Amino acid sequence: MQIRGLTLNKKLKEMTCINSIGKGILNDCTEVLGKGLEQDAYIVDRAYIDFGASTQTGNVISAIVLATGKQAYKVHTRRTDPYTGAKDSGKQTNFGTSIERTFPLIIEGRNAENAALIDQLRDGKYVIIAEKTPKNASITTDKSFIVYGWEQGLKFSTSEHDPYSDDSNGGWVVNMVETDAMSTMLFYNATDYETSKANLEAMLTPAE
Amino acid sequence: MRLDWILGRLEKSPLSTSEKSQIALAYAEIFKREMVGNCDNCYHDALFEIYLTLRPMTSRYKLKAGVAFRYDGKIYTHLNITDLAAKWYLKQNKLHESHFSHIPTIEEKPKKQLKTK
Repeated sequence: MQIRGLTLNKKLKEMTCINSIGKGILNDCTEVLGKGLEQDAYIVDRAYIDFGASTQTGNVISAIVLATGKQAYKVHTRRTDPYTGAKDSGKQTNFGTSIERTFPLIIEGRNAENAALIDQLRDGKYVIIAEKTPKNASITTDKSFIVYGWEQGLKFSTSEHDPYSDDSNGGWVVNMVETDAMSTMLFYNATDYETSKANLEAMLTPAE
Repeated sequence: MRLDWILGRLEKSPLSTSEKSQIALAYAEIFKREMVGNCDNCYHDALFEIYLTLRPMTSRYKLKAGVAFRYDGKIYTHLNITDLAAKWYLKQNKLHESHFSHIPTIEEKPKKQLKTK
């Protein structure tokens, strides 16, 4: 049967999401393996992202384009085990997989400005780009930057201030959580490590 | 030496000893000669010379923040885009037009001087 030049069989295939693996699961060390995140990360209000101009192919985002006059901000922690508690948890639902991502922000300074900053985080949705500690920056297929909040946005979930906490050095731990994300993990790669890093730094300055 | 650091120090007075030392070092590295004088103004003058050398050329193309590409071995973002790099990037893919907040129209482009016989 022909539907606008296509066979019915082909047309039905185009309309169906077919997911199946196409390669082995080898852990074969062609990439650098290992744990951890770097101390620097980047945060941007999701509402500032120009999704029409941004580009994503599969699990790789190659352009995170910001609206005119908008910028990203740097997140830095002094902890030697940065962002401990960041995690992605997947679970099966009636319609595929649902991923919950958590990203803990540590705000050490107990002052009015930081309290106001936490108040601001309570509104809106955010995207955080974190950098893996193990990298193989010389190869273009390396994906050193993990993107949190791209699909559903990271939202303020909990905050805790404990004056005697070792986790926050007496400051705050703010957990930003994205729920019902579809992709297991998303990476940012502008073409190679150097270009991606330079671009993230450039995003700290708004464009005209 | 970052441009925002330079711009911040151009507006600051007096400069600290370490800032003066950084300026002198950067000046020597860029111009291959020692800077002249030791007054606050001398450092500001030297810094301004550095700024004029390092500042990006103003482009008529306005790239959006978050777009980066390599052209001729150099990484371009909205902070250092040039007309030449922008034209090359636009030629690569029609969809790249959405990465610009402004693309100059024909009227805006500089008119070529007619050759006179």
